[in-house]
Parts: sequence; C-alpha cells; structure tokens
Amino acid sequence: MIERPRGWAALAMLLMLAIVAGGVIAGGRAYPPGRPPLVVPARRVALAGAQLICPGRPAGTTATLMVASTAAGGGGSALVSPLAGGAARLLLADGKRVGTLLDPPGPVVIQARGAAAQGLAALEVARGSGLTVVSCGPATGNPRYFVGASGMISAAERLELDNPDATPALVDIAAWAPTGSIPAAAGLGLTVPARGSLTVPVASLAPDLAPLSLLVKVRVGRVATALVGGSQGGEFLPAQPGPLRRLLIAGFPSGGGARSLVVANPGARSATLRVRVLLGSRQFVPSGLQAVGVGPGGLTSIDLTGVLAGLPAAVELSSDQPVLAVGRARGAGGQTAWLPPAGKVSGSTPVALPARTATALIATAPGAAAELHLADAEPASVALPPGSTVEVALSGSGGGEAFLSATGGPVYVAVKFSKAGFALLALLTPASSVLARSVESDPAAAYQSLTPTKA
Amino acid sequence: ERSHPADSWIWVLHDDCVTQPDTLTELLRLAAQRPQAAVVGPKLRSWNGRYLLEVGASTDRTGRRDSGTERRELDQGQRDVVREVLAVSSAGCLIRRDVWDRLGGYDPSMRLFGEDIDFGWRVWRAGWQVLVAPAAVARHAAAASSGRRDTAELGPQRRLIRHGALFPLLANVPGWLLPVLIARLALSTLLRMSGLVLARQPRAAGQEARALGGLLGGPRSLLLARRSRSRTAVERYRMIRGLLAGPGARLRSYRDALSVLVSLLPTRSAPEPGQPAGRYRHRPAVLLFAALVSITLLAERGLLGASVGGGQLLPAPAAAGASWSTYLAAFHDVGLGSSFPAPPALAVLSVLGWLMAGKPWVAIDLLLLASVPLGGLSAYLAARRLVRSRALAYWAAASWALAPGAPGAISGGRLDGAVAVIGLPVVAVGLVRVTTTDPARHGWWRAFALGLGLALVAAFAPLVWIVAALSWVLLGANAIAGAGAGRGAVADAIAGAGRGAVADAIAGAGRGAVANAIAGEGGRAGQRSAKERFRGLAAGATALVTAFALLLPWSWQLLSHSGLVLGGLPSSTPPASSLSLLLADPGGPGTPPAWLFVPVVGLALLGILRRPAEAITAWLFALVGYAGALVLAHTHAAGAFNRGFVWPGIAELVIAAALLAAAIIGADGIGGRLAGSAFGWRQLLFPLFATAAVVVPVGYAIAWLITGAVGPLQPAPAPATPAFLAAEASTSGGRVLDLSVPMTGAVRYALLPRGRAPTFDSEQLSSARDPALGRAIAELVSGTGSSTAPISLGQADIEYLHLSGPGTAAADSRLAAAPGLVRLSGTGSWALARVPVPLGVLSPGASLPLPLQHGGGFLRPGHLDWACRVPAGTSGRLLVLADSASAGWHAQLAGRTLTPVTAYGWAQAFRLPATGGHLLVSYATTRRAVELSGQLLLLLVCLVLARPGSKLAATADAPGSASTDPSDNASTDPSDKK
Repeated sequence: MIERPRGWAALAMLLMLAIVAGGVIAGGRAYPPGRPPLVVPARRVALAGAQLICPGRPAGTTATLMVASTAAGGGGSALVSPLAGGAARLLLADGKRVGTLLDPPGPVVIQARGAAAQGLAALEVARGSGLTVVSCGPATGNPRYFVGASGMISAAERLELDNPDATPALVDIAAWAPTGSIPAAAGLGLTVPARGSLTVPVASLAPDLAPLSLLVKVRVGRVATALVGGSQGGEFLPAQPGPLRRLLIAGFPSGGGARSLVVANPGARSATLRVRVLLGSRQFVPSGLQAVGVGPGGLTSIDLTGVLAGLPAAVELSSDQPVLAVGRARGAGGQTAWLPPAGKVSGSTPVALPARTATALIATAPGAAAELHLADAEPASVALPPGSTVEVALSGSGGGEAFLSATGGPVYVAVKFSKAGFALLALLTPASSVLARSVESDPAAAYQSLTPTKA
Repeated sequence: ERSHPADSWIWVLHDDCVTQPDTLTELLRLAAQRPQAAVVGPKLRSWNGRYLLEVGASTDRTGRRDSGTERRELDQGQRDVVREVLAVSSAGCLIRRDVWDRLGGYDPSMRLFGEDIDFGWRVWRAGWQVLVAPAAVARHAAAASSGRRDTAELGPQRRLIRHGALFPLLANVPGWLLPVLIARLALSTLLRMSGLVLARQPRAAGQEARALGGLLGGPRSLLLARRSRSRTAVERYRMIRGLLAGPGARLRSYRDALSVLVSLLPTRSAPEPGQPAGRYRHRPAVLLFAALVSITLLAERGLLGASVGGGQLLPAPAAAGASWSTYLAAFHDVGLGSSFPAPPALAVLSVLGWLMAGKPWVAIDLLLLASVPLGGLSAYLAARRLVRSRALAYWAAASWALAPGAPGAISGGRLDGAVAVIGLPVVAVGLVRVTTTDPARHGWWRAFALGLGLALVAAFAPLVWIVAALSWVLLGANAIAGAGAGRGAVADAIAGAGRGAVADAIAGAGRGAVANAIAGEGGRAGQRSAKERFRGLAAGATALVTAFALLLPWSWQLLSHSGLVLGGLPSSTPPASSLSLLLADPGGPGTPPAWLFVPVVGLALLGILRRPAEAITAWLFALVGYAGALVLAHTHAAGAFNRGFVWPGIAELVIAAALLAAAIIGADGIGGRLAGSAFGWRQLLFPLFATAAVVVPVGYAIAWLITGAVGPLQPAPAPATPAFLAAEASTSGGRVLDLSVPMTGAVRYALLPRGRAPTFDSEQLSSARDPALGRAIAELVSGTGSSTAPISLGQADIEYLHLSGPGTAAADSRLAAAPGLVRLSGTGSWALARVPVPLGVLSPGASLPLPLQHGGGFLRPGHLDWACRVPAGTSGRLLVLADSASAGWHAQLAGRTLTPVTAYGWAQAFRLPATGGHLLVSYATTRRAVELSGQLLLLLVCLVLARPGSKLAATADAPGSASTDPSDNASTDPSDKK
C-alpha cells in the first residue's frame, strides 16, 4: 500500500465522526424515539339500528307498550310487530320521540332504524290484580342471571324466552339455591322455536325452593329473557349480565314494607362482602354487615328493613369475589318489586309516566353533587347534595314520557310506580351511540396467537 | 475371391497416433483368422493410455458418431471382444489392398472427419466385413478435433465435422430412405442450431446450417458419390442397418456430456485451490460454519422441526404442488379473489420445497432459521474478495451473521430479512466487481449471473434491488469522478463545497478506490480508460435490468404497491431509536444489545486512517443506509385497513455490511505492518483493538444464546378456525371471516376462502382490499345495529363469521345487534355466526342477489370455469360473482357474450338479459400463460448467458489426450477423434 499523508486522513476521520454524530442527533430530533404507537383515536358512532323484545303481558291484564327514543334530530322509524310475525305497526316516525300501543298481541319485536334507534327504550305497563312494569330488552347470546327467583308453586314465576331470529335457539338454564347447585335436567337443551317464545316455569327447574339464582346460557342463536310472576302476580325480576366486585343497588323507596338484599356468589370461591348504606344524606356500614360471607354457588338474603327505616336509600356492595345481587322492596299492598344493580344516568333517559299511576324518582349521588333535569315533567330540576339519596314525586305534562338528564354526578336513578300496585324500575340510559372499534385486515388473524392482543 | 487371403495390406497411421510393438501383429492375426474382413482396426486409447477412446465406430441416423465407449471410460479390458463394427477409425487400421483399390480408398471430398465411417459403410456394402481387434492397441491424441491441429485452411472445423457426419449417411442410405433421412437431418440440424444459439455460439449454428445446406444445395457431388457407391454395392441396406447406432447411444452421450459439465462445476467454485481435499475439518471456514450452526441450533431450540409462523411470516403452503399451482394461477382464491401476479418467491419456494420432499415449510424453515450460518458463509466468501487476511474474513462473517439483522429477522418472521442476510454480501461484492471491472475483459456473463442472483434475493426482499440500484448510482458517481481529472463526486459529497486541501486529497484517493479495494486490481483501476469504466457501469445496469425483468410482471406491480416493497405485513413493534439504528439494530424482538456494534463503528473509523479512500466510500454507503433506515423506521404503512411500522432491517444490513467492510479493509495487513515496525504505541494499542473486535461476534452469540430466538415467530401456529368449521366451509364453498378481537385496540380480520387459512403467499395476493368490507366489519363489531353491514358480508360471499380472542364475549353481544346475522354458537373465547346467502342474480333495486340453483342446492362455483342454467326474469338484472372484478372474467349466456360491469364497487358482475339460458363463466388464463412463458424463456436465456464464458479448462490429465472438446456443451456430439 502506498503511504499517504496522515494529517488529512485523521481530519477525514474526525469529519466522518462529526457527520455521524450530527446524523444521530438530527435523526433523533426529527424522529424522537418512543413515539406513541399508532392508535386510532376512540370515536363514537351513532346507532343505525336497534331491536328490543317485549315479553307477553300476564294473562288477564291490560297493558300499554310505551316506546321512546331520545334521538334529538328525529328521523328514522320504529316498527312494532308480533314476535311470531304479522302486520307491523309504525310507532315512531318523522321525529316523533314517544309512541304507545295498547294491549300488544303477545311478545312483540320493536325494530328501529336510523335516528329512532338512538336511545331507544320500551316499557310494558300491565294492570291486573296488581301493577307490572316490564322493561323490554334486546335478544342476546350472552349469559343472563336472575337472582331472587322463586321455585314455589305459589309464586308461579315463569321465565319467558323469546327468539326473534329465523332459526331456532338452544338454551340451557342452571339454578342455584342457598344450599348450592340444583341438578336441573329440565333446564338443559331447551329449544326456543324460530320467531317464537318458550315459557319455563321456575318451579319446574327447582320445585319448592326459594330464593334461587338462575343462569340462562344461550348455546345457539340469541334470545331475550324475562322473569315474571310472584305470589301477587305480575312481579318482574330483571336480568343481570354477570357478577361484579362492586355493585350499587339504588332506588329503595320510602314507605313501609320489608327491604332486603339477595346476594348470590356464582363463583367457585367463597366471597366476603361489605354492605354500605346510603340513607338520606348519611352513609354508614350497618353493624353485622361489615363482613358477610357467601359460599361458592351460594345465595344469601340480608334483611335491611330496620336499617333503612322506611327512608329512600341505596346500598353499595363491595366483595372480594364477583357476586350478583338484587334489592327487594315490598309495597304497601304486599306486592314485591326488584332492583337490579344500577347503571348511572349518563345522558338523556326516558322516564315513563303511565296514566293512572303515581310516579316518583329515587335518585342517589354517591359521590359528587349532581342535578337532575327533567323535560316534559315537573319538577324541572332536582338538586342532589353529595352522598345523598332523595325521592321526588313526578307529575307529567302529558305525552306519557319524561326525559331525564343529569349534570355532575354520577347519579343513579330508580322509578317507583305506586297507586293500584307497586313496581320499581332501575333506570338505565339507553345507548344512542357505540364506541367504534378500528378494524384491520391481517391474514395472520386466521391463526391463533399470531395476532397481538394489545394495540 | 473374398475367401482368398490377402497378399497385400495397407496400414493407415496418423501423425498423432502411436502404436505398440505388437499392434500390427495382432491386427494381422485377426485378419488371417477372418478372411472376410477387409478392414481391421485397433482399440484406440487416449494419449495417456488410461481411457478408452474408440473401440470401433458407428453413426446413428442423425449423423452422431458413436465410439462404442463412454466418455472417460477406463480401459480395464471390458471391451476386449472381437466385434463386427460399421467402421473403425483410420488411426492405425489395417485395410486389404485389393478392397482399397476396388473401392477407391477414402473419399477425397471428405476432409479429416467422417471418411472412415463412409469407407467402412462402403466396405460392408461391397460384401466385406469391418472388425475391431481389441488385442491391438494404439494411442491417439485426436489433435484435429481437440483443436490442437490447425485446420483453418480447410474451413471452419464445426462445418467439417458436420459435413463428415452427414455425408456418409446421405451417400450410403438406399434411395427410398433418402426423403425421410433428409427431413430428419433438417430437424436435428434445427434443434442443434437453436441449442447453439442459446449457448451463444451463433457462428457455430451458422456452420451447422451451411454443412447441411452445402450438401443439399449442391446435390451434384452427392449424386456422383451415390452412383459410384452403388456400383460397388452387393449387400442390401437391411444387412447394414443393424450396425448403425440406435437412440440409446445418443442418450448415453447426452448423459456423458452432462456428467462432464457437472464434474467441471466444483473445480470452478473451489476457493482454495492449494488446499488438499478431504481435510475440511482442519479448515477454519468449516469450523466457523459449524460453530454458527451450533449457535443457531441452540438459540432456536424452541423452533426447530415444525412449520414456523408468526410475526410477519404466515405459515408455509401445505405442499409444494399447491404453492406451484398458486404461482401458475391467473386468479387466486385469496381474500376477495385477486388477479395480482403471484410473487416469484413462491416459485423459488416451490422448487426448494420439491427438493425438500415436497414440503415448502422445510424450505421456509431452512431459509429463515438457517440464515445465520448461511449468511456467515456468504459473508465469508464476500470478505475474502475484500481482504487478504482470513482471520479478518472470519471475524467479519461471524459478526455479520450474528449482528442484529439475522436474529431480528428470525424472531420477527422476516423471510425477506433472512434472505437478504444470506444474499446481500455476495450480491454486494458481485455488484461492485461487475461495475468496477471491464466486462469486455472479464466476460459479460458475470453481469447476468449477478442479475440472476439479485433476482433470487429480490424475489423475497424487493428492497435489496433498490439498494443495489442506489449502490450502482454511487459506484457510477465514483467511476465518473475517477474518470474526470482532479476532484471527484465522493469528495464533493463529503466536503460539501468540494474546496480545500482535504477534499482534493480525498478526491484524489477516491478515484477508483472501490475498484482498488474490491476487485483487487491494485493501482491498475486508476488507469482504466473511460470506456472501460462505462462498460463496467453498463454491466451493472444490465444486472439490475435483468433482475427486474426476471421478476416481471410482479416487479412491475410493485411499483404501484409500495407497501409490498417495504416488506409486506406491517409490524406493530415500534423501531429502534435513531442511535440504535446507526448501530445496525433494526429494533423489534430478538435483537441483541445494540451497543455491541460500537467496536465495529470504531474500527471502521480507524479504517479511514489506513485506507481513506476505500473506507470513506464504505462509510458513504453506511450513511446512505442510515438515512434509509431513518426514513423506513418512521414510515407508517397505513393502508385503508392495515397499519403499522415498516421494518428498517434491510437498511440496517446495508449499514452493517458497509461498516464491517470499512473495518476489515482498514485492518487488512496490519499484523505485518506492526511486526515490521519498531515497538511503540501501535503495538500496545493493537491488543486493545483486537479484543474490542472479538467482543462483537462473541457478545452477539452470547446474547442470542441467552435470550434464544424469542419473538412472535413460533412453531406450528394453529389455525384459529375450528376444524369443523373449515370442513363445513370447504364443503359449502363459502368464505369464512376470521376476527381476532382483543380487549382494546384494532380488531383484525382475515378472509378464508373455503375455510382455508392464508399461507405465505396470501399476504401479497390479498393486497387488493375492499374498504366497504372493512367498514361493514367495523360496524358489526362495534354493534351499531346497521342493517347494511350483514348485507356487505353477504355480498362478499362470507358465509361464516368466526370470532376469537379475549374480547370475544363483548363483540359477540354487539354482533347480536346486527339484523339478519344468525348467531350459531359460542363460548366466552370464541363465537360463530352465519351470514345469509350470497352470489347470484341481482334484481334491480335488491341489495343481495338471489342464489343460483344448481342440482337442488345453491351454486357456489368457487373455481374459474363453471356453467349453470339461468332462469328468465326481469330486465336490468345483474349476474354477480363474489370475486373481485378483473378484466379476465368472461361470461356467455346462450352463446351471447355478456357485458362485464362492477358491482358494489369491487365485485365482478355481468348484465343479464331478461331471457334465461345456459350460462358459461370463465376466467381467461392466456395472459398469465404468456407472462409465465416469457419468464421461463427469459430465465433460460439468462441461465445460458450467465454461463461462465471463459473456456472451461480441459479436465484431461495429459496434454495429448484431449478426451473432451472444451467448446462442446450438452447439445453437441462427441466429435471425431482426429
């Protein structure tokens, strides 16, 4: 190799070093490391369609179907048609937000399209010997739990399964009593006919046992479920989607009558739970309820009559294992009403004001102060101090439906129907939009464990 | 007369033949025993006496000479039997004087070749016999046919040989056979000519044509010869026919020619001619390879023995036959159907798969998992071209193979990266050699060989082609800078203004620096003429164009699908930081710590001190690679429904290659320099640098062994679709939509035609995506309750919807909001739904077509050609296929061609008249067939052109033996042994 002068070669080396260092710094500036990964921002899209199934009214009653949509813009339509098929009737159209149907023919399907699907809610108010208020829900393939059911023949409770699809659905029902799981062969492999319903007496699943918890598992297809009955007839036991570690049962009304809590532990481990009561503006843990044990697959009933002392109240449950719970309140006429775990009022929520009943709101703001606003009803607003529970009587200004919204909060609301019967309904804001999920084409999705489970 | 013993004989001898003392005695003894024999010939051996050259001679019906032996057949007495033969070579043969006189001796119109065959034939026709006497032995140098004898004054040798082969046939066969013979000879001549043209010997092809044309074009001499022969003929053709060689002899000669070619190959590729054979275990190269194999086996302990998949790699196709037919197909049943040309990598994998017992997964595993040892081997071969020191080559090879590129490619399932690790060193050095040397001196074949190699690598990693093109531009700038006097482009680029002493000095050194360093041509490159430089650049361009052309039409399609160029499926892993990128670390799973590369950067910087020009050129490549890496690492492949990060691995490989090259070029010969100079600070620093260098490959190996090949790549990934569903879909023919639902983040979907899970090829083929389908799926999994979403699925002939993943339960309840979707079954971890009917006749105003009936059931054709009856209906109907629209679709109803239209914005449809009738739907495969034929032809031409153009060295041992004709290839015959 030919000898070269050293000086400039060293200079060239330093130059290169400078270029490299400059490149790294410039590269780091232009493209800082650790940028957030590519995530599509969560966005909400309005519902384009919704379907609700209302169970058939109890025999010997007259009923009113009340349908409301909270869509602000109007548009779209909602049709009601018998589950078995037949002529459909237009309930909502041209921006009309409320519609009613007298004496619906058995189970019915409400199908909303367009804007009418946003915030769609439906309620069936039946009058017989008592008052039955049944909220209509969607058909789903997900499991549904009923806590507090009764297998007593006298209670005459029945589970109605409605299948709106063109193919039969296959359903399994399991039952637990306080003593544990009941081998209920009668609940296995039930076929719900296409566009039809199946009524299963609870007594056939667990004869002469109460209280019970039931699990409806849909193997094929989808069904809407409702549990109606009770010794006074026309009691409606709402379904729950699944066990949770923290539950709030809001809406214990004022007045006399027994108050209790039914807690079920569907898991395989014993649960220890604590009950906290929100009574008026006070919050406390009643003595003896600091630690309540519920065995695996067990069920327990906690009497709260003395603790609540006839005041409007809410009850908060915290447990080390996921549990199911339901609140029970007995009305003046001996009719029992049920309160499932509450969902907070997050937007415009329809409140039915049926004719010939007295309607009251029982609202709880367990945390921050909140204010309720009511449209088409009196009073127009209700102030809720922090940690308080209040009961307010409502009077409608016509139309049969009021629309409730909340500021501050969170706020949990139940509706009490009294006069000619007794019923409670935990209010749930119907969805008007859904969170859009982003979707990517990826052939690796055809293989297990080849796709990342996180974004 | 014939039985009378002869009283006088002629013994014919050549100047290149040597007899033994008893040769004549043995010939005469046989002649005395067989009075019928007019000609007796000896057994001819090669010049060195070891091989049989000829034991009697014959010809087949196309003029091919048959020597009765195999090529390079050792004489062990196996042919020692007295035989009647058509003829014997004139070298050493004994001929009865009276017969010679009667027949007029050898035909003087035949010069040097073929006259012995002709004479033997005439002897037989005249009623005498020709015998071979194996006891008589002569050695023959075959000077004329091996080119040692100057036969130029007689005319071109090939023409003489061919004339000598054809003339005896045409002059001696009976007249009634002549037309058949001429036709056969014309055909064989055509075949031979095309073979010669392919072998780049057009002149020889012309001589073939002129040999036959000369005989047939001037028939007078032929007619005279036939007339004179018929005068002396007494025997019938039937008698002689048995002496002609059959087709078996021809096959044997083909096989021999092939085996000789094969036997020549290793002698060309053996890199160390001085090494004695059979002592491989003492060679460090073998030890290096063995060490890399051991490290690989240990690190990939969890991956071996199964079809791997994961990361960016989809599992291999089931069988080599299946992947081959996918490659050939014009329309692919992938996704929504695709007319995208299949990637050539699939053809390579199919061929490799055939070699691996018909299992493409073994080929993929081998390329991916063995990329470390193979890359090391390739880097060693390349490094040996750069430096004299073997130790440096081993170090560079080990560092290259274990640097983050290869383990990162393996863990991430990056087949493109793995192939680039294997191919890049050889391609890079090849490109530099081709571009910086004069093809007129070294042969253009190297350009085509490089083109083939580049095509092979680019078939998997198209980015490598772009890297090669950029390198070509850099080398071109370097060459132009060197060609011009004074300053050069390299120096300008570094110094910016191009002013000042430093820039001038670098420019002066930069001239031809790469050529110096890599081609090892010393200072000569500096003196290369401008013409030579431009020829070199032209050769480099030829290689680039060849590679591009070989990959057509796929390479053309890539121009408009940049996502595929950047490496297929985007990754969800963010790339490394800008500092790690400089340290050859692409980031992602399975990569060793980036700082281990720091010594290489240091050594590459020191390389500038010792070999400034070469090292700066290498640094320039590294900086270009770094810029590319920065751009790639921060590019998002954001398609309509597929997003992610682009892998900067190929650019990282360029950085690693360039810096390793700079380091070893700078360090080459340093040991000798240090030993030669007085003890000083250099000797003290040397162990420090050496230790730092050794840390690089050792550290990489330890890091890889400790972590193992972890990452998304996993053995035998199982399809998400349950087997019963796949079986059901394969029977019904509908598509399955597989949704992978995480708790949060994007839902990923895959379309499975007939329930078949996508494989290696599907990723590219399904690049045509349908945004409407993506929107519909997004609506379904979000639970908007849209009634159009299930219809969109039905339009795409999606029969089943299968959900899996942790977010299934929530997504399942949202799916329930979709009207018309039938929820079949499910647990918390998976769910299944069915979409109502698809494909068929679409009435005006309808959104879903009515299914076509066929044999009592719905028709789901699913292949490219099908037929059925269409009932009459209203006008304005459309026949809708659930395949994406392509110009290849054709439909006929009752003999009338239907007008193609596009339905739903993506699907192929045809306007149906109100009348019904017999419907024929087909997909035209002509275009694909033409493309494939063109590709095959181009491949053959390139293979021929890439054949080393230099004369293959004669493999025979002694100068005189010349048992092979060097210019022969498999298609030419072993010619006369003159």
